[in-house]
Amino acid sequence: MRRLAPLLLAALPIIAVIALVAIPLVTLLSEGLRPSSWQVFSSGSTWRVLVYTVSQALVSTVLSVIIALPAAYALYRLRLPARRILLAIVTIPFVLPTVVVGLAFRELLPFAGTTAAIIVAHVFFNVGLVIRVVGSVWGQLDTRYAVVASCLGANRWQAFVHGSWPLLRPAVTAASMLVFLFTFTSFGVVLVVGDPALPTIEVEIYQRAVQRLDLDGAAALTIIQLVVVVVALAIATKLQQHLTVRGIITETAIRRGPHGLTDYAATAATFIVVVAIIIPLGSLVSASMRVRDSWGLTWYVEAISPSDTSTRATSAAEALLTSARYAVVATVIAVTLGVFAAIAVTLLRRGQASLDTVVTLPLGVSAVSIGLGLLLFSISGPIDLRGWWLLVPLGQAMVAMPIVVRIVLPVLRSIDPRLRDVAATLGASPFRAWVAVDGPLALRATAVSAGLACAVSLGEFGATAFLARADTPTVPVQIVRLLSRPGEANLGQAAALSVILIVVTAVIIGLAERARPRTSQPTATGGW
Amino acid sequence: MTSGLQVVNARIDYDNVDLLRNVDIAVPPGRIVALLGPSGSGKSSLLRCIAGVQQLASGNIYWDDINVTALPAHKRRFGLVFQDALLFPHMNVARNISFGLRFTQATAAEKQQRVNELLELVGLQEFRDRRPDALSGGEAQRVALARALAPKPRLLCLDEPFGALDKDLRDRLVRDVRELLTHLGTPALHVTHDPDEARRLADDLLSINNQQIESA
Repeated sequence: MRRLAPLLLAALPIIAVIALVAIPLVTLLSEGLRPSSWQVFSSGSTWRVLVYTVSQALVSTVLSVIIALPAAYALYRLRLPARRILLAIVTIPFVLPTVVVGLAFRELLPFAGTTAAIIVAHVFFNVGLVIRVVGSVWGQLDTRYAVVASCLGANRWQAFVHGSWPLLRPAVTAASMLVFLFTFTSFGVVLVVGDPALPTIEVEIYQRAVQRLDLDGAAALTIIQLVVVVVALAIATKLQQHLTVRGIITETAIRRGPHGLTDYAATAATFIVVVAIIIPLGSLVSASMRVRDSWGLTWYVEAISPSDTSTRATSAAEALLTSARYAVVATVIAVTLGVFAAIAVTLLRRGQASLDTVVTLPLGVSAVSIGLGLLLFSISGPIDLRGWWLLVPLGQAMVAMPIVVRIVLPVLRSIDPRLRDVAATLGASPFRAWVAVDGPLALRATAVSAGLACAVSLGEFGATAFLARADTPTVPVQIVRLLSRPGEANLGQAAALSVILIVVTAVIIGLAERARPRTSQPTATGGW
Repeated sequence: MTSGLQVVNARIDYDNVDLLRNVDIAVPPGRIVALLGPSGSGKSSLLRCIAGVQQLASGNIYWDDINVTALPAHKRRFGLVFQDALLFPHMNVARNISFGLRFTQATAAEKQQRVNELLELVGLQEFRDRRPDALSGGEAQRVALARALAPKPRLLCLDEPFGALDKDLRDRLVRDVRELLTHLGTPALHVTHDPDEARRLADDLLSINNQQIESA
């Protein structure tokens, strides 16, 4: 039983990844890759798209990290007023639906429709991620290393460069890698604020598959994208192995009041970041309430019960209902699979790393590839699954599951296995011991991860764009549809729907956050 | 007048609660002074203040009759060794020892030579390329000591440096450190809760009683 249980737990997520990611991907490649696909590889425009995609991702990543570092320092090392609130604000963008952020910046930026707008939106999205990943390590770095360095003659800057930075670098590398992956495969943002004449790979795949029905080309591009992702992940793994150092974390990190120019500069930078995050959200609210030359809730009313039903087949109320239904199902699937996988990883004697890699795999496959692959599979697979409603939440669950694993796994790993041994010597069976020791912590982490999975599902656009049926769009799909039509009414309603989606997302994340244990130990929720 | 370290009428607090009052301590050149006190009595805080990584609530610190109270830690040239060695985990033994030499004018050859000298002094020549996680507790503490001594500190502050070691090892290391400091002529202030260890390492003994320091 002891050996069998982890294997049984591991089986379900592995089957899910194979059935919902691996097989569709293979289908996509085998369907799409024909001799004519080679044209795509030899075409100069393909490589221009690739270079453009990589460049914007690199610039977005570097800027996100540079802007996040001072804030990570201030928020995790200093005693700031309203620190929890500031931290919550910087986290908001990351859980926002991509098309909503795209729309916010389209309304705000005078230079919308350019590469610069994409980069600004990407930085907005990812700065909070870097702050949290780097900050959770920075907050626990043993401050005495800096003390040792300064007693050896290093000034503050030297103590940082030689003493703290090398210890922070693995976290910075990990965060950079995540930001690069997200911005390299970013879809909703690029579609809404980007230059239509300058597509990224992800947008190009979508346009070829959906608008030009050029599956060969889309499949070829998917391969190029996968290769870049795999290479990037390999580099990250290599860097991390080289840099990982043990024994740098203390349990008792103390935050102190700001002191000296550096601290005040970092604090100021933090407040600038917070304000910069609030402004686009404000612009979205103002766009949703600006009716011709005055203000009002017309667009909200219009969105919920459209007076002109001929142009908009679906009302916002219906889209919200559809989104909610999908989100509930997707969350249940993602959390079940993710938690099973996390438990199996901690209990397995062998193959822990392989299982971890398998369940993280969907994170490296872009959402568009997952969606397109599932769509093709549903058409050409052994059973005709076209239009099956469950495809949408299944696709969303594959996008959300790796996040669930990344949140729950560190919590389970942080539990001293000897506690289970103690429970066993006190007469608890392995199962009872697990329930008593791991259970309560796992439950909290599960609740936090369920909130995030639900937010991901509500805002998911890349996979959903392919899988949602035309007559039952989700909220993000409906927003993009409205945006593709001209006129103030469509824009206003898109903005109103965006605001509603933000509020719903915020409420869900807020509820999930209540489950987070109030300890200073960030490992308890994996840095989240 | 006297030279070496002088702490005059110092007050140490933690979160606005007084830990120590009216502290007067002198560590003359070449002397090893031990400060005995139970945990939580403020002796570590005092040492951090002397090293310059924490501020006195009031009072002054002098080195050779020059007031260094406001001088930042990296300009004081006082070495500090903690209970756990706190070796930089991303550097090998040699690079840990040469860390403090980066901030001096020494040439690469001089640094190299200084590292070799110190490795020999602490008897760890064959460990120069080891990573900190491949060292035992005693070896790590020797490296920490070598690292603190490398930039030729004017004073060595020892914050329970033997506390994490078992008895045999501690006895041997106490003897070695005393020999080493006497040989180098480096004065030291040693903080501990172990009277036996204090007696064997130090020339002079002080103890904390009732928030005050008195000679034992």
